[in-house]
Amino acid sequence: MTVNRRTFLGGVTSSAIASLTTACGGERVAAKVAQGPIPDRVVDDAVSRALASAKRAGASYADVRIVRRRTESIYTREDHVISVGAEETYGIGVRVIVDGAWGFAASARVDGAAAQSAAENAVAIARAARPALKRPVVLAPAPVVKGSWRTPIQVDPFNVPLADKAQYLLDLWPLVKDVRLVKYATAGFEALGEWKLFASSEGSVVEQSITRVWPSLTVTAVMEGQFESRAAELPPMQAGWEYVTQSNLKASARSLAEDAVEKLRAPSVTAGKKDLILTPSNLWLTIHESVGHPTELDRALGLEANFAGTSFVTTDKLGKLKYGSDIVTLYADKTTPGGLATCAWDDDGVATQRWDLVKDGRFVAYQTTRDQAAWIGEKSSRGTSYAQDHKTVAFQRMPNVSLAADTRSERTLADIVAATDDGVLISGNGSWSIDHQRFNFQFSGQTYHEVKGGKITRALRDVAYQANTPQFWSSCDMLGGPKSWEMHGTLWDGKGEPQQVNAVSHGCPPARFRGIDILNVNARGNA
Amino acid sequence: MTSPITTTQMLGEVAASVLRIAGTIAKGAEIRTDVDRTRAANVRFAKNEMTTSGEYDEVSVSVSVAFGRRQAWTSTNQTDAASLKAMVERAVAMARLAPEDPETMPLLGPQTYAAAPPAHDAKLDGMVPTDRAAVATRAIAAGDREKVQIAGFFYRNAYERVLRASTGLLAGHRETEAQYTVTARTPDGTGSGWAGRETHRATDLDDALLARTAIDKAVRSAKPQVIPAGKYTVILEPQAVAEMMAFLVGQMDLRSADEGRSYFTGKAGEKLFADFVSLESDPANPETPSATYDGEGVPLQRQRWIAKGQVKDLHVSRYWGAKQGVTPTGRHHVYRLSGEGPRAQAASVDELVRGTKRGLLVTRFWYNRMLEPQSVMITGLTRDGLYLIEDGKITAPVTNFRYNESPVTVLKNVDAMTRATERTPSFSGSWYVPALRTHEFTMASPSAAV
Repeated sequence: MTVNRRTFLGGVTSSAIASLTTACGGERVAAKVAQGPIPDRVVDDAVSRALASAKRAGASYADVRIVRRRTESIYTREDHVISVGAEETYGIGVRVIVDGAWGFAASARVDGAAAQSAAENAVAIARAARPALKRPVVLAPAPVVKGSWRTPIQVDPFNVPLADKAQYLLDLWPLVKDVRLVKYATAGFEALGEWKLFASSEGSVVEQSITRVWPSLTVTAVMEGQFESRAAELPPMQAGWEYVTQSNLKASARSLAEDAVEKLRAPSVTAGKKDLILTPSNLWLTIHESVGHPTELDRALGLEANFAGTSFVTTDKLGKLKYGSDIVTLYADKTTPGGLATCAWDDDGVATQRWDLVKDGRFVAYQTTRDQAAWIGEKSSRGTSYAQDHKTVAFQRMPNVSLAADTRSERTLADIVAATDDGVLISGNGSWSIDHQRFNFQFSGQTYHEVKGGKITRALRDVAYQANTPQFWSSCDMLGGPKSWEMHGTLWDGKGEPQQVNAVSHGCPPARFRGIDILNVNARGNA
Repeated sequence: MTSPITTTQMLGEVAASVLRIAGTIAKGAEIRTDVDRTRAANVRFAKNEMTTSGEYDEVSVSVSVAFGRRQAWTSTNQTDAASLKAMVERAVAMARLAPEDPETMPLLGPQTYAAAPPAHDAKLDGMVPTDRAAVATRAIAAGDREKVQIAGFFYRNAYERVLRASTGLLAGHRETEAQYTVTARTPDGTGSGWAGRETHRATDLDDALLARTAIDKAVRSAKPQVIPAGKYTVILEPQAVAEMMAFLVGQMDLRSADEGRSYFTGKAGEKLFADFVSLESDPANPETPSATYDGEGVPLQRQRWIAKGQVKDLHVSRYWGAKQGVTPTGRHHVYRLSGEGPRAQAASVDELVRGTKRGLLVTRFWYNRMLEPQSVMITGLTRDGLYLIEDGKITAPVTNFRYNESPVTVLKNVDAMTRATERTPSFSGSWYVPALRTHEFTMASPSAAV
């Protein structure tokens, strides 16, 4: 079939676009968005020839993604720049189903001939795979979609003069260098731009442009042969440069330096069971590892067994497993404004959505794609397909997964501390590790404080918490209210073979967990 | 398929084009370009059937532009003249705007590199889709036959690289790399086994043997016993060894040590490890072949990081070397851990087991993360085959553990190694390591994961 973006952009109804863009916090774009150097007619020819060639070669289904991926990074240490760089990739990926088998091939050249060649290679690869296939791929039905979407940004980070971005980072060192014992600081800024055109043999054609930014700062204090570092908790976000300039990074820089020094001088924690209070800047990663990954359907069914592992959340537990206490509701949402995984359509061309994974403590749903939905008897995909660039194959990737706040209260972090008799308060991310079925995890943080009698009494050092997933979430007895809900995230969540990265956010309020094992991880040989 | 000579010429022409473009729009600047071609292909299978497979063939071009100490780099995967020009123009614009970096080092001029042993294997390079699918088919057939669930991933990549600079620096390298990992699980979900290998040549890859090993480990690990957490004598198979050692090498940097933020601060020349332990890099060794230059074009020589348990050298960058008056080591990416003398003569893992009164045999680890950098304390979990050893025999599978331990302790307490090393699957760099036995290894908490 032949598709033409100019046709669909003119033909799609504004109300349809408006409803999508409202839900996703994005915005419609009237013209092409940051697609790169290839002219429209060449792109259109490539798409048409790829789909037509795949069909001619025997594919029952084909889709094409033309992707431009840009990154820009600047790093400083102390008073000088140490790295300035920019990467860009561009190309076409063609995915086909032939006799029930997937095949995929990619090309960095985007024109009709290269697209045809990639389609034919993909078909040949699918045919080679067919003898080793037992269950032919079945795609869940999905409405044909047409439209375009982009991250709402005020200032495109790629257009901000490099010197301005570098100066922002260099301005951080004077804010921390006078804090006694502070010796080093590294700062960084990363911008990621992702433009993609998706078209399928079913007639869907969508164009999306996503912009993500992440400013960072880490301060290190050194004293008598020991060192401690403190990293800022400002998360990466789907946003423009304005996110950086409006952030509290500069305002909080000195307190970060003071935290590093405080940590260096803090007593080592006494191990034992305590109540654990986690701020959103720490809890998001625990959600990611203990809820986000185990509720991926491909993991639960064994498709990731050779790499990331399987999941304790097997399909027989759907609707039955008590995942956490009754106050715990965890939801997936690829429409959260600012979320790193937010977009209007996934890489199957399915409209993104929000749904509960754990409702009132009970496990109620998985994350799925079109080729997975039928495996658990669902009639449609949840819209979580993603490929990191043109040369990688799309598969199930985590949407934004968040913990709902306690909507019946205005509880703050201070209220949770005040209600806690013997606990540890942890903020920020340090070390994180979880087993390959997502039971046993161990996390540390950036700062640790002892809580006694409802008050923060002193800073601590060498802290980690260890738990298993259902025990941990079942011990949750207190959540912050909606105003305390914050979103954090990562640009670099890895999954699959070959490994691909996915950017994903997790929102949560501060929360308390009762009777968690607090470890002392000091191995320096002195307290 | 494009012949290698044509590819090398093509990469060289792209590099020349970049230098030519840069020479006209960035007069007086130092220019370096890296042109890499990757031909990548893979197959993936799970639940005893094929899942995804794919391939690509791409050229990546990067350019680094330096006006004095103002420096920036850009890259693209487009090789047409307009794209190369756009890439260079962007780097030039960025470099002009970039603040000065006092750590910028002038580009090296022409260098003499040691002859590298062949790292490219035509047989591996020549695998077509049906050859690759056959790797999966053989494993699936074995899994079906033994009634276990089997999953795996095979990739074969061919790399060719050219580095050129406006100073006359010129280097090139080509190699093949294959990696095969396979996991088997018993139908009752209580047993899991794994095997894997990385290699540059097809003759080293016995995929059927690896699949059999994974299946055997899975069957033998079913219905594990629960034993308490605590300190154990452990035999680490090569994959487990490599995963820990990567953290140690990450700390072996002279600048970090000099700045007081490394385990190795103040420890240069000290005997920190068992006295038969060695760690070295030698790209000219035919058994560990790799490029004989690093990303900056620094010639890579044989480097002994640890010899007879003593720290001999730490990585030294060109900047830090100039500042401290020390010869830079270059940035190596191939490491070989080995032992000297009678304690490194075990013929096999089985021999290590026979010599163990009580301990655990560890197949591999998972989700390893730095816990406390000052002591290189790492956390992670055992996975895919953990077995109890009693009186020189494997007597039972046991449930997995989270460990909290340092590779420093592992190499301090090691008392035996296998003679042979093997190249283990790795995300970055190449690791040639033996299996080893070490003591007082901390299994910190139980894990119910299988």
